[in-house]
Amino acid sequence: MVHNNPEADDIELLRRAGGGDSTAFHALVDRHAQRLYRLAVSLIGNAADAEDVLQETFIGAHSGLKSFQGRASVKTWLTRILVLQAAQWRRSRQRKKTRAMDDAIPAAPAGSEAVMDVQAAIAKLSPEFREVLVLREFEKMSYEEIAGVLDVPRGTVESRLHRARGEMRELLKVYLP
Amino acid sequence: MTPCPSSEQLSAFLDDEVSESRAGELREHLRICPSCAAELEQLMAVSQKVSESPAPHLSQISLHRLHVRVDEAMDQGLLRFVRVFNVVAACVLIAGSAWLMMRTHEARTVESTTPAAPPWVDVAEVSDTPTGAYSTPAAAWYLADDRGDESP
Repeated sequence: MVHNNPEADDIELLRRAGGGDSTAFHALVDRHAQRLYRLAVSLIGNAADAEDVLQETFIGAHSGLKSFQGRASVKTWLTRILVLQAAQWRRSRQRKKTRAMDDAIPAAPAGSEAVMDVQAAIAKLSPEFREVLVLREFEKMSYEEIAGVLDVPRGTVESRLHRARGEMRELLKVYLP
Repeated sequence: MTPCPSSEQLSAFLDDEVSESRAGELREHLRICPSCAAELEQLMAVSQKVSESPAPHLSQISLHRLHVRVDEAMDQGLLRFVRVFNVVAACVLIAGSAWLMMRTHEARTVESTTPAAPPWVDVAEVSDTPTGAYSTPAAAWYLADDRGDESP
């Protein structure tokens, strides 16, 4: 295996996993789990559910091994599955919340923004803003890559990212110069 | 001085997502516009704050759980394949059995509807067309003698 090129390694592992080599798939899990977990926590907002979403991501990836066509990198492909799983998780949670009466959830105490850390601030963003922000800031993805992951035009990524940064600036103003 | 760029353009400039010519114009503008320079500095601070926030770590136990879950999913996939294979095999078996039963039934129906030949047809055939032991020369002589012929 060529270790100088992580993408080539990923594709080789994916090819072997597609041929039924479970060890190769586990190696792929090891390579991407930490990175995707960070994204999952940022998108979901809590560690336990993020772990579930991460599991569903890799299960989804395994069942869709044959569908990988190599148009995007393995990293982008896995990230896209994670984002879709996170969106699905949000939808199911929304349904549960609706059933359990939304107003039963206590509101955040006044002034809590002052002690809000970055993760909490990210959690305050709308899902659309959160997605572009974490993909850009954590994954260092280009606008084109983000557009590919989210299946939106590049201009939408630019606009959402700008607005997400604007909201973050407000939420984190006490920490900024 | 060129007009102030939008905050969105500054954000894209920060991410190195504007064309080289536009980046040159913006650099020139930022050099002489303190307001836009301050805006860019704020955007940079936000970006830095987010990207440098501590990353949550997936513990070894969680990673182990993840591998176990993936293994379970793989096994379930295999089980699903076996189940599908069994269903297909059962369908083929049922269809084959039904086809065989239909064929047998058709053969019986044809047999029962075909009119039987009258009994004298068989007799005539036996007497007119000697076969088996009667076709031997000795049998022919015997039959000829029996019928009163002079020659076989």
